Amino acid sequence: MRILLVEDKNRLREAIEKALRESGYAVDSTDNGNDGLWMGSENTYDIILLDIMLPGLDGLSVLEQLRERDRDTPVLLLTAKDTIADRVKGLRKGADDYLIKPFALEELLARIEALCRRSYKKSTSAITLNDLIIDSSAKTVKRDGNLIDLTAREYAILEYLAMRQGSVVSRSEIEEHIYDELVSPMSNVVDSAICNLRKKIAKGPDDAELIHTRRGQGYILMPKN
Amino acid sequence: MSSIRKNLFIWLLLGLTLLWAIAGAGIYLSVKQGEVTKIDSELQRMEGALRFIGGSTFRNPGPQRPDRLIVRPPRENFQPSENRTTSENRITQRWPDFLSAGGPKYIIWLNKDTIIRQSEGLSTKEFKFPEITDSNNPIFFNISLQNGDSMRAMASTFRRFGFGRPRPRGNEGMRRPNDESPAQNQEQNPPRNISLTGIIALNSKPMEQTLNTLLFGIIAIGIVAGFFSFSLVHFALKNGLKPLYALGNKLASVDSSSLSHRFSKIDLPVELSPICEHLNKLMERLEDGFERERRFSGDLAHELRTPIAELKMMAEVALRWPENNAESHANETLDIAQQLQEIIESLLALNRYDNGDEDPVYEKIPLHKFTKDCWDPFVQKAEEKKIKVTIKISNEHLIETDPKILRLIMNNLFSNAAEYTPSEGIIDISGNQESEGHIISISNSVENFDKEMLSHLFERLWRGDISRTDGSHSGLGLALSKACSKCLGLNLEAELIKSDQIKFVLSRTDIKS
Repeated sequence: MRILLVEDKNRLREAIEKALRESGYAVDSTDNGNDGLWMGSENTYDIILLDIMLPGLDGLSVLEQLRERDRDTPVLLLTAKDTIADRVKGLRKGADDYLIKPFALEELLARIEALCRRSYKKSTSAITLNDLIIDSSAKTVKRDGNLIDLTAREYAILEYLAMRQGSVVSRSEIEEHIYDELVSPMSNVVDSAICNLRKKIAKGPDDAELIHTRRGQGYILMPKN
Repeated sequence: MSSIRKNLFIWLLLGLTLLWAIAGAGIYLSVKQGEVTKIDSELQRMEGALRFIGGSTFRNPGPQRPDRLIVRPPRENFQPSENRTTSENRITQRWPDFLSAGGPKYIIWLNKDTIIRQSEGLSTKEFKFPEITDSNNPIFFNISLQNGDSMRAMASTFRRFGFGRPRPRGNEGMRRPNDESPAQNQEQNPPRNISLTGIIALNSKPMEQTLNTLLFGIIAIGIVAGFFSFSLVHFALKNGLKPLYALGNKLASVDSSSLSHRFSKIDLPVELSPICEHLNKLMERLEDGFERERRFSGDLAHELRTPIAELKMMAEVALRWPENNAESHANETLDIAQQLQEIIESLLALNRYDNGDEDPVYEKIPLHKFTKDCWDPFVQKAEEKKIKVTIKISNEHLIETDPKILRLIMNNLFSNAAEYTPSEGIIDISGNQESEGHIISISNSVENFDKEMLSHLFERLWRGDISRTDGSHSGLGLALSKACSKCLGLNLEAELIKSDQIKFVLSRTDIKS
């Protein structure tokens, strides 16, 4: 999952960024509203974390302009403004959630997960595919009851494919959603990550693949026939 | 508690009652006057009869000339005719009601002691000889009879021109003067040209009955009018005060969430318009005050929540994903703690100076040296930004003040000037001794600053940077300077002397006022 973080307080932004990366999210960040609007408009993000009081363009204006540009990316407002009027105003401008500073990291992560599920129309944090169970809350993957050890990136790719199971996901989509601007995505990075994933989630050498390649189109996570 | 409605009610009701009473009395008196005039006219009309009676009391034998002494034989078969012109008949013809039963009473005096004619049964105790000074003007007065009746009387004097001695005449209702003692006393012949005094009186009972009926009618109408007035005043006050009650109800519904509401003057009466205007101005001031407080609360929340959020997030991240850069984390934590401490100390100081809890200790200080000392910490920053700084203060300029508090003011003003003056801008610090009350002024270049921002400059936690990104300022400096100035009895004001230049002036309030 790729997240855009727009926060002008350097210390807070860096701490959130680190926490999100450590949690397996790809994160792009900026400290002003103008850049935030540009990044939100030009790139595809699964979630945008947006501060309201920003230099340049304030968070609510960024949100308003994103919605005007038909960007329906879920937006979580992070702000010190705690009045009901402020919350109502933010939600009415098109925000999907509202979190008041200071907040607990656990709560922030839980809200991000909830927004992701809502975005991909999943009602629970567990995604099941035959005997493969992906717990997006605990960030764990089990196959046939056995815990599979995945890197954060591998888990993110698998979770993304699972969120869109049954649909073909192109390589560029994986790059957009899983790799942030700090990583220069190369085609073999995605391919090798998929290759590693297949190996790790397979029960044995003869086990049928869950991740299928559609030549020229991308990858699809499908149950075994 | 006094009530407008009650006061108005009492005064209006009293006023209306008085009005009704005056009107009733006016009607009664004018009718009474009319009736009296009418009866007086009647008396005047009947005075002729009195004169006639007075005149006829003395027989006039005519001139005694020898050629007229012809003895005429009595006419044969002479029968007195009813149509024969007698005194009574003449009176009856000319004053038809004079001799009637309800006719007037009269009395005629030859002089004070001699009554020559009077109505039958008349008491001289009731009809006393009148003292008439002007014979041309009769006098009118009321008489109360012993039987309880009252009469309206007219007294007048008139002359009787004639000859010889009085001829006694007898009639019903009239008496010969020699029948009674007054005439008997008049043995000698009366003078030929005599002055008689008479009183003629008419029964005033019918007039009194009319007036009594009128009085009863007026009282009855007065009672009805009283009830009507009561209802009218009650209704009028209820309706008249309705807009006031409506305004009061609207005012009662105002709370902190409806301060933007303004009272409309359209439906209000003219008398309430000024009140409405004052209320709207009050609402405006309240709204401004609440808005300022809301802004302050919001800004304070932001100023306190943000560093706490930073601390919390950093701590949680450090605990969850421990790193080796503990020193960097410790420094950042220290910075945040320092920032929070400064905000809290400034707020506490602001509260102290605002409430006047600080007692200034005054002493004389050389302003030039003091200003240079205060400016020193900002010299480096000004040089980095290539700001042109000018200090125009006389070396001999001494002021009496609390140096600790003045330093706080100057530090904030100089810090502000050094921070917000753009590169290659100017800062002028001046102590103008010639201007009365002036202590010091600091003017500096500014960017993107307008009059609207000027009006918020001294508000607590107000910052030109709406996003409040820079954590090194909290927006309390100028508010604190203002409070410190107030504590020293000084006034700190700011003005835009040019579109890109702001000037802070510190002056004495007592001189200014």
